[in-house]
Amino acid sequence: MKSKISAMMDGELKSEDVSSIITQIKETGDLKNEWSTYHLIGDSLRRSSSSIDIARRVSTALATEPTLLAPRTTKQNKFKVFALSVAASLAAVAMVGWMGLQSMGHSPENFTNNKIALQPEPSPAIPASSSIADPAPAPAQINDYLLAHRQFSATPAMYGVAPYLRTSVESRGSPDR
Amino acid sequence: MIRFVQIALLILSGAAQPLFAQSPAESSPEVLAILQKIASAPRQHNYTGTFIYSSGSHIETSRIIHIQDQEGEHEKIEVLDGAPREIIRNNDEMSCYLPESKTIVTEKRWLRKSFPAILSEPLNTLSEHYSVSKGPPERISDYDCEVIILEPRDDMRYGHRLWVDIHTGLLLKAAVIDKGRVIEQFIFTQLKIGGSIDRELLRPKYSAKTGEWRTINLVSTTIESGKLGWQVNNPPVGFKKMAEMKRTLSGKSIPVSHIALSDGLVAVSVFIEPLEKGSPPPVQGLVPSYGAINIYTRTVADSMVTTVGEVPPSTVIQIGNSVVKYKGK
Repeated sequence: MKSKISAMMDGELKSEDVSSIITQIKETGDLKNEWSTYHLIGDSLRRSSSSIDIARRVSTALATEPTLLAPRTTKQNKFKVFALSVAASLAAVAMVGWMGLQSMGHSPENFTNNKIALQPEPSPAIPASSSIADPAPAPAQINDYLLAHRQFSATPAMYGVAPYLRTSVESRGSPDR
Repeated sequence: MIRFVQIALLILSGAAQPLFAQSPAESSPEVLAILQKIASAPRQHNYTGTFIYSSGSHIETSRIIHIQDQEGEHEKIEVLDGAPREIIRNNDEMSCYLPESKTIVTEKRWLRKSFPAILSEPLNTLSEHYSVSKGPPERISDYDCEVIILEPRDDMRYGHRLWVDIHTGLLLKAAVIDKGRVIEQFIFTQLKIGGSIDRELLRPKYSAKTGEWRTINLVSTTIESGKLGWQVNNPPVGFKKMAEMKRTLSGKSIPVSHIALSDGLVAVSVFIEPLEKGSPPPVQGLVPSYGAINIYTRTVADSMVTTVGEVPPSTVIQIGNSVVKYKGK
């Protein structure tokens, strides 16, 4: 269903489907949320980046479709986009990485040691870094943060969501920790 | 101590002077078209293969089966090293089976296609902050690939390299680069694109026994309109707010505020969570992590602010430090 909503927003849905979707959106609370989420994103885009050209164009496009229930024409979709779609296509990979690290019970030491071997001497470079967040965010929290973040993340680096080694291990109660 | 060293080093590397400084020429439309192709390729092709993910000293092999049909994308990933894990994805719904702890972790993504469609032409903004160019073609897993190089124009972001199959647009290798050093990468070592794929392969190995398993639903999201009461007032150049929201995370009674920023390629998330009364205040600083992800925590008023992103440490610090309570309009 969600994919239909987004297809509709992309203007990829047939017109007969559109009206049935709209009816369903009206009747279903979940879908309403979904719908408003999409528009919230659109709104925040318009607000936050009105100075840049792209945002202006998006705003113009939105302004010419006041209800937004009318799907956009497919012409506008030709710039369908890289960043977040890549995120979608790679998300599972990210998940793999994340899961991998959380189940590597004994690896924190390995990791740290290797890290040290790879790196030059330590430096008290930036004061902000010198206090390491020790009791700070409870492990489970960081994992949740990483996962919540991941859906916005567009780069291959997002397999890096995985990497929160220590907390992951702790939060899932690995036998080694 | 070890962690201190690690953090100090991360910072040190982040503080070093960048070498890039290419002329901010327009990125070629051809290269941008390839980037778009990457995005749509998984929705057009079936494939099975084996890939390696590596970050620091960590290396892990996984097998992937990807089928696209009328109902959308279906995917299974099996991790072949270490503890067994299986990830099943049907469009936006993901389930991860962790047989050792008899746990299923589920996640539902709500963004997906909607975002790019709304974002229209982020590729333009991309070239404001990265010099996007094409390298000489390379062969990956027996496929001829085009190589896309995204070189940061300042030291607030990492470099990226993408290896893209010339014919299908599938991403076969990707690397994140910090001043010439690969800090994270993924690569297919074996891949078969197209042909018939047995749908049985998509079936999870463990689902039959799920009755005795515990299920964790990781992200349940609710969105409230605009006014979060918090804002990032001085993000590094190029980082723009994409969305702000409240979300319910596992085991939390109070929703957490979440602001997502992006420079067109990478995202940084800011999470703001009220501190519980009586609990010790969190220490400010970078939280240990590795690969391309950096995490920074600080306390603002009665809240803990955590900034997360695939950006250099100095970038999460700058963003984290510029989070303020917003006094309304």
